Amino acid sequence: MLEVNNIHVSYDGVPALYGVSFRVEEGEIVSIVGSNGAGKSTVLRTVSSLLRPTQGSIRMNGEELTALRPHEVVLRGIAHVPEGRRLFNRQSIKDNLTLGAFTRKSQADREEVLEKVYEVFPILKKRLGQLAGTLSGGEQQMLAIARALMLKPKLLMLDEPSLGIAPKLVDEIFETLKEINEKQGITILLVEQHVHEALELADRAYVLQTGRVVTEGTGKELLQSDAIQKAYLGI
Amino acid sequence: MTFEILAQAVINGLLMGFVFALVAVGLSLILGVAQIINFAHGEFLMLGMYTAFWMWALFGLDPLVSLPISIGVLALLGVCVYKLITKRILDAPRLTQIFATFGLSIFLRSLAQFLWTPNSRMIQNSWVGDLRVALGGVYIGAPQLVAAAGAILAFGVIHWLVEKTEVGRAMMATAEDRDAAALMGINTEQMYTLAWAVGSACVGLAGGLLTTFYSVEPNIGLVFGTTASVVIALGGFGSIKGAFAAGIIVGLIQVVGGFLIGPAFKFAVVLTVYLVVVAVRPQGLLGKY
Repeated sequence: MLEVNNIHVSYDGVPALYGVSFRVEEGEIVSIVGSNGAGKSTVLRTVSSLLRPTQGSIRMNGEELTALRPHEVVLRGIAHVPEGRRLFNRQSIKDNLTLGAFTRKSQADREEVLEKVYEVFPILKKRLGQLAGTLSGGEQQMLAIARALMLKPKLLMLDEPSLGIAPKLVDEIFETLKEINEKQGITILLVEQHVHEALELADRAYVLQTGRVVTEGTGKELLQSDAIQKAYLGI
Repeated sequence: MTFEILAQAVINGLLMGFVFALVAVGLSLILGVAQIINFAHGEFLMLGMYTAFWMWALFGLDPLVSLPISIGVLALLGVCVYKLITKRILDAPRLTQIFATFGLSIFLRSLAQFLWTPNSRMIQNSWVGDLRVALGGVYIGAPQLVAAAGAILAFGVIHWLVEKTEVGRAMMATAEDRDAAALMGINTEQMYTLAWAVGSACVGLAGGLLTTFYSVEPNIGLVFGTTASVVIALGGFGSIKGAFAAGIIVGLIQVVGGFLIGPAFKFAVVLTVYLVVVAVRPQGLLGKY
């Protein structure tokens, strides 16, 4: 579904990714793990065209994405929940959700998507009028995921959904991701510092270190590999 | 007698305030959405006034008739300035942004002087030019009344656009977080262009309306541009409602202050009030930041 081939990205001339390649197949959950500063966010921002690679290609179902503008990537069925959630804090929950539906033309279609999202996150339906900025960290993350689901994506990309959230809620959010993947058939690309949880959830995973993919494998394989256990899991 | 003069001053100030408000709303929209303060906004107004003047001088069109032309010309100018200049410096340092539009203001002022001489010009015999309404001992000039009505109408339309339509909400989302808006499938480039078009159209309208009672000359933008900057700082950066309210307040302060202290000091009074507000409430009256 998504094929990223040898992308190089720099910020103001300072390289951040040195030839990163990976692929995501339809229906999979793929995790990219690595420590802070490894370039995980950069990968997602480049797929979304918020950053331009200096080399390499990114294809979605065979179509090249690198020349597209960010909103055009969204129209190809890729939704991105950015790091730090980036909600529209001055707008209500309802407005945050419906903003994500501007790409839908018909009203009936919007209502249908909205109902589906309420099924996943019933708590949001009860508080539609509340300003997004006044929600707790966990609720904000749910809203950020819900807002992305409003785009009816084929591929959902999440950047550190566990950031700044109580551990108990992190489990809940990972459960929700699994449910979204299984019930709605949405492919998921997850970027995480919580290596253990991310590997447990993933069908396949990639380990990113200072801008390069150093290891790849199924989630299980990586969980059991010595190198991963030493470097990230502290076992 | 004194009461009547004061009442006259209040009315005049109020009506002028609506025009200041309209100019400031345009500036605020561009600042709020496209994140750039347009220091050439006053010069845009000057060009709006010249458009109305030349439509009258060359084709005999009354400024009220040529309003759609002034609005259209300025909207187009706004789009061109965005596409050719400010779009390229969106991520540039603040100083670059300031000098780009500041430089543009000097260029436009000099260009107007070069093309149309520094002479002050006035439209004669416009439809509403000599009419006035008597209210007790107070006279309300028809041109000012029409200008105020136009400003209120325009504010209503912009307020509706921003608050009630999807395009407006997409525009506000872009203002709040450009990247996040783009990730929601919003064409942020289109939103920036729209903000520049609508923001500049505001001074096209204001310029056309002003020519019925104000003479035009190349430096006219200095007064209105400075006032508009004061107004949006007073109203709160990026707040459209705040800009409108503050515009009316500034109009009142200017005329009434000038009446009480002396006309030479009218801008000094406005700027003093501005300094006090900035010191006491730096986010402005209705500011969000």
